[in-house]
Amino acid sequence: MKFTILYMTAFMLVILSFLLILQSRPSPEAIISGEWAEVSWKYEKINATDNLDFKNYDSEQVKNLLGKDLVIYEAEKWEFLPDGKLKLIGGETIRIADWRIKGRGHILQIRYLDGLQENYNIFHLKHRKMVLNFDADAKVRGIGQLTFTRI
Amino acid sequence: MLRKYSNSRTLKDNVKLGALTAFSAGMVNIASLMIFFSFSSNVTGHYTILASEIILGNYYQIAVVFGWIFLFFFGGFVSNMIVIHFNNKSKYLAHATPVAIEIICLLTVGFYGQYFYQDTLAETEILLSLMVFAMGLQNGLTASISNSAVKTTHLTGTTTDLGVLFAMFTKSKYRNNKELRGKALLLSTIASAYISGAVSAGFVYAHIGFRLFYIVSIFLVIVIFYDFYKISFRRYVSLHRFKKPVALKRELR
Repeated sequence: MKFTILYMTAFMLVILSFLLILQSRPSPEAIISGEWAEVSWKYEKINATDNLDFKNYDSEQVKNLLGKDLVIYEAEKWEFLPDGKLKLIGGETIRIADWRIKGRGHILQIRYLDGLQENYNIFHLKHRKMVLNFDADAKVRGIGQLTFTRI
Repeated sequence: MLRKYSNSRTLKDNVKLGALTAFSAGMVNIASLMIFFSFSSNVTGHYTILASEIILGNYYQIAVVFGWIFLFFFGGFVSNMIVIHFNNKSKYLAHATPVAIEIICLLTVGFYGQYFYQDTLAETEILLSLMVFAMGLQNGLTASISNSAVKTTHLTGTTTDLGVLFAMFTKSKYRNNKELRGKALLLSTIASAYISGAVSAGFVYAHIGFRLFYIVSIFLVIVIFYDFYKISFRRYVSLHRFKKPVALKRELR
């Protein structure tokens, strides 16, 4: 009986603290909602044998190398709407897609209307700053990194 | 597969149980990875992720990952609780109940996913929790009834043991040891079944989506009904051939 009470108390405490933390912290879905401006593109890592001196590349050069095959290439502003829609705004062009967050809140999945799907690893997500990583295999294999700031 | 306990189990019992449950675990794990971008049957990775989230100070993610680890632990706890507390009443029922709960969890994931899933993060976390709990139940059960010989939801220990065994087989005295050869057969079967389950589920998921969980459940139903059929068949034979019925209650024990 004593052990049953001890076990029950321990389990209840674990579950309660787990729920308390979940309730007190905003979910990644809540944090990401709103407008974000693209700040920089860079190579986080690169295949060493490709001999690319990527550290000296500026953001625009990296964007041209990495992003040309990506739909987000032209977007300078990203607006995450609460209904799961994403507005990719680049100059006069606005492209609509669906966004979802997966896993433990570490994957941003973007689905375009033509059925194309892109997955980004959420490396950092706070109220003011967002950093997305993605596998890059255009021209040079590596990990690309996109940084945003909230508008 | 489920009737016998601990040392009374034969190699054949363990191979059958290991193959079917590892195949199911492989299917569940690849499904969780493809749908939810997270593993459900191996928690070693979750421990690493938990550590990295603690370093980064992501409290929400810490809670989620900790919750999954706790549910895997809780699955093993519930499984063994049922086994040790009900073993003396009916071995078969004590061993079949955790599998039945596992089936309920997986059917819930399949049914919800097929009809209600909206692709939100909260749903991902809850459905994955059910899968992690189901895998904890399965691993706890197989380890408990087989004296830790059969662990089917992750392959770290299995791969290590296979490496050790194959190194031992370079000496003829170990190569000719029937027990070690049996162990190698069991572990190879588990590893092969797991990868087969994962690969086949990967192909099938693209066509049937969440209905994949119904197929996994069928494999687990086979695990439950294999012994039930054997018990019923033996009872039928003893009733009709010898006219001396063996009480079902005794047989179930």
